[in-house]
Amino acid sequence: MDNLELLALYNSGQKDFSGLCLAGLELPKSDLIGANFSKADLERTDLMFSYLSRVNLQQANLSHSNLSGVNLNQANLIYTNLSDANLHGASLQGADLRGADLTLADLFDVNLADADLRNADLSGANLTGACLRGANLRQELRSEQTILRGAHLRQVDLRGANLKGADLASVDLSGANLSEAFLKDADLRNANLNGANLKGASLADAQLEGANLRYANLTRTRAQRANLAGCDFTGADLKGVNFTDTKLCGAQLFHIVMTDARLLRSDLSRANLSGANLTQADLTNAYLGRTNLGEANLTGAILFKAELSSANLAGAKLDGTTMPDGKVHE
Amino acid sequence: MEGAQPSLQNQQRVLAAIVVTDAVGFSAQMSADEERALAIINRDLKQIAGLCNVFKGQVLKSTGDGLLMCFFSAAQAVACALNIQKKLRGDSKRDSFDHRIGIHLGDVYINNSDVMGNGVNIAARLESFAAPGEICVSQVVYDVVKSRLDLNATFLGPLNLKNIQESVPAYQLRPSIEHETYDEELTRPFFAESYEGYTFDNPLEQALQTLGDHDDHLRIKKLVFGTCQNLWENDTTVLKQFLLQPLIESLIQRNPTVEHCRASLYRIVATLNHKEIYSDVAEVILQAVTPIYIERAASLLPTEKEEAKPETPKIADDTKDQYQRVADELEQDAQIIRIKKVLYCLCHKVWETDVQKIEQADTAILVQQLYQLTPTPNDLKYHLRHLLNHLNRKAKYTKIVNAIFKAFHPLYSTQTELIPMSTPGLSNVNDTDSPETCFGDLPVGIHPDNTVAFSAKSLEGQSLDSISQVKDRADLFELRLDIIKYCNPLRAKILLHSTLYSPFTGSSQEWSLLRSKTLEDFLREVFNYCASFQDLESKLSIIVHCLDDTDENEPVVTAILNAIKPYYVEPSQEKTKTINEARETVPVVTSMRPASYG
Repeated sequence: MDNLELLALYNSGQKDFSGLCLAGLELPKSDLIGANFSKADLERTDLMFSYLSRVNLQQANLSHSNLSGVNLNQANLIYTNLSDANLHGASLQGADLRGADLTLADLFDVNLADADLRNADLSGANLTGACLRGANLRQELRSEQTILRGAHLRQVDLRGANLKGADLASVDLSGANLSEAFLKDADLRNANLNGANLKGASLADAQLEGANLRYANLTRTRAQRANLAGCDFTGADLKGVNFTDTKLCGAQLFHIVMTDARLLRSDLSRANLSGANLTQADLTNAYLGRTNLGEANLTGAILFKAELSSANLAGAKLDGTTMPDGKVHE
Repeated sequence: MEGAQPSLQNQQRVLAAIVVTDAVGFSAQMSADEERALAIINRDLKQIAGLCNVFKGQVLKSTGDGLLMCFFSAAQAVACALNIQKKLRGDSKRDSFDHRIGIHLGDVYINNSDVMGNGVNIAARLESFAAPGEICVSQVVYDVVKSRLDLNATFLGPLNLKNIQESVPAYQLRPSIEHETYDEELTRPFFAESYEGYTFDNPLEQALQTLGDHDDHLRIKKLVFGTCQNLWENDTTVLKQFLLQPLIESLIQRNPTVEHCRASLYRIVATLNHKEIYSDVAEVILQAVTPIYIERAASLLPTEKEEAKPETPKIADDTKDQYQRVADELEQDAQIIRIKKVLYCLCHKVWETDVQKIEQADTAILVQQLYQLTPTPNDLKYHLRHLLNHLNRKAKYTKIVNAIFKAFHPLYSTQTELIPMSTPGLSNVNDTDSPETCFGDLPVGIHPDNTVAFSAKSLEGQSLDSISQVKDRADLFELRLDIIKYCNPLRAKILLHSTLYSPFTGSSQEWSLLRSKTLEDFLREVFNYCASFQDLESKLSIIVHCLDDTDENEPVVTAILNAIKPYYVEPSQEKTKTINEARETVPVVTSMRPASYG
C-alpha cells in the first residue's frame, strides 16, 4: 500500500489497518484520527505533524519512525515499539503507553501529561523539557517497573507524577519540577537533582545515595526512611523537611537551612552540618556520631536522646535547645 | 565594472576617463565679492563631488574653482558630467557659476595625491573649449559612449590643443532640457541600479509613484516591508496597514548608500522561495530609490539638515540661554529642591536624598541632560510619569512633575497640548510625611555616598500595582504547561524560533538548533527579546504569516499569547503616548522593531 492509497482508504471510511505492513510510508501532516493500526508495521514511517489522536497502535512497530509534532492524545500505545522513534515536540496527553518500548526515543519537549507509562521502558530516552505532569510511572509488580535508567530528564515537568518504585538511577533531573511527585521506593541513586524542585514531594523509602541535590528545593519534602547517604545538599532549601529515620551519613549539609526539620532517629554520622540553621529542628534519637555541628544554630531544637558524644559542637548556638538528657540548655 | 575597480591608493598607471571642471568667471567674481564667490564655489564643488561619488568616480584634486575627477568607465564619466551640468544649471534661481567640463580617456599616472600624464592635460585643454554649461569630450570618449547614450552632440573638428602635438578631434555635448527622455536613455544600460525617470524635482515622490504604479507593486511592498521589518509578510491585509512611503523612507534611512540598500534587499531575497522573481523586484526598487540617494548626495548639507531637524540648529545658537531660561523658571518655584530631585533622578537614575548634593547640582545642566534624554515632549512625559509611579508621595510630586513638564515646554519647538498629569493610584498611596520617598520595588540599596540605588532598568520597569500581579519568570513550568495544553509543543517551538531568529525553513541547522533548546529556553529568550507583550504580540502575528501552515499556527499563537500575557507587565504608561508624535516620521516602523534590531 502506498501513501495515497492509505489516505484514500481512510477518507473513504476505512479505519482498520491492523496488522498491515506500512513500513516506510510518508504521511506527514495526515489526518488519521481514530484509525486502528494495532500490530501494524510502521517502521521508519514519516508521520510528522499528523493527527493521530485516539489511534490504536497497540503492539505496532513504530521504531525509527518520525513522529515529531504529532498529536497522539489519548492514543493506545500499549506495548508499542517506539524505540529510537522521533517524538520531538509531540503531544501525547493522556496516551496509554503501558509497557511501551521507548528506549533511546527522542521525547524532547514532549507533552506526556496524564499519560500512563507504567512498565514502559524509557532507558536512554531523551525527555529533556518534557511534561509528565500527573503521568503514571508507578511500579505495580516487583518484576514490572518503569525504567528510566540513563534517561535525560533535564527541565522535565513531573509535578504530581506517580513515580513509585521507578528506576531513575543516574538520571539527569537537573532543574526538573518534581513538586508533589510521588517517588516512594524510587531508585534515584547518583541522580542529578541539581536545582530540582521537590517541594512537597514524597521520597519515602527512596534510594538517593550519592545523589546531587545542590540548590534543590526540598521544603516540606517527605523522605522518611530514605537513604540519603553521601548526598550533596549545598545551597538546598530544607525548611520543614521530614527526614525521619533517614540515612544521612556523610551528607554535605554545610550552612544549610533546616529550620523545623524533622530528623528523628536519623543517622547523621559524619555529616557536615557546620553553620547549619537547625532552629526548632527535631533531632530526637538522632545518631550524630562524629557529626560536624560547629557554628550550627540549634536554637530551640530538640536533641532529646540524641547520640552526641562524638559530635563537634564548637561554637554551636544552643539557646533553648533540649539536650539529650531532656534538660533545656540555658 | 564593479569589483574589478583598481585601487587608487598606490602609484600606478591606469587607463581612465579624466573629467576636469572649471567655473566660468570665477576670478572676476572673486575680485568683485570674494566671500560670496568662495561660498558659491564651495557649494558647487561639494555638489559636483557628491555626484562624482554617486557615479562611482573619484575626486583626485581640486583646482580651486574646479575638480579633477577620474572614472573607470567613460560612460559613467559622461553621465556624471551631464548630471553635473543639469544640476548646476537647472537651478536658475540660485546664483551659481556656469561650469565647463572636459573629458578625455587616456593612460594616466596616478599616485596618492596627484595625477599626471598626457590624458590629464588633454582633458584640461578640452575643458577650455567647452561652452559654459556644456561638456567637451574627445573623439575617443565619444566613440565609446555614442552607441549607448543618446547624445546631443556637435562635432567640433580636430582641435589643436596647447602643448599637445597631435590635434584632438572633439565633440561638444549639451545636456538636454527635457530630462526624462534624456536621462532614461542615458544611463539605463550601464547601471544595474540605473535611474529610470531620473529627475531632481522630488525623487521620493517619483520613486513612490514608480513603485506604486508598478505591475508588481505588491511584491515590491512585500520586499520593502520584509527588508525593513526583517520579517516576511504575505497577508495583504497586514501589508495594507503599512504605507509605502514610510517603508521606503525607513529603508533609505537604514541604508546610507545604494550599495547598503542593495545588500539589505538581497539579504531578504536570499531567504525567499522565488529568488529570481524577487531579484527583479529588488532591481526595480533599487532603480526607483537611486535618485533619492543621488539627490541626497548632491544636495547641500546645510539645507538637508535644516529640513531634517528644524529645531537642532535653532537651539544650537542659544542653547545655553534656552536651558538657563528653563532653569530660571524652575528655580522660582518654592519646591525647587524637589524639582531638582526629580531632574537628578531622571538624569542619574539615582534618587538622591542628600539635600546638599541636590543643591550643588546645576539646574541648567540637569535641564540640558534631561532634554537630551527626552527629545520629544512625549518622552519627557513618559519618563516623568514613570518616576511618579515609583514615588510614595504622589500627590506632592504630581505638582512637581507638572511644573517640570510645563517649564520644559519652550524647549520643544513643536506645539503640544499641555495635559496635566493626574496622580496615579492615589487611593492606595499613603501620602503621609513618612521619611522621604522610597522606591517600593526598586532595589533600595544604600550607596556609600548615601544615595538610593536605582538601576536604569527599573526605570523602564512598571508601576507598583502591576508588578505584584505579574507572574514570576523564575519558574516557567506553569507557562510551559499552559502553552502545550492547548497546542502542539513543536509548533510552539518553531514559532518562537522564527520570532527569535528567522522564519523557519526546515533546514538541518534550524532543526539542530530546535533540538538543542527546550521550549523553556526559547521562552526565556523571548522574554529577553520582546520587552513588552505588545511587542511579542505584533511579532508573533506577523511571523505566523511568514510560515507555512498559517491555519495550523494561528491557534498556537493564540495559545502562546494567552499563556504568556500574565508574565508581562501591563504597560499602562505606554497607552498615554499620543499617536501624533511630532518628530516621528515613520511611526509604525519605529515602534515595531526594537532598537537592537539591525
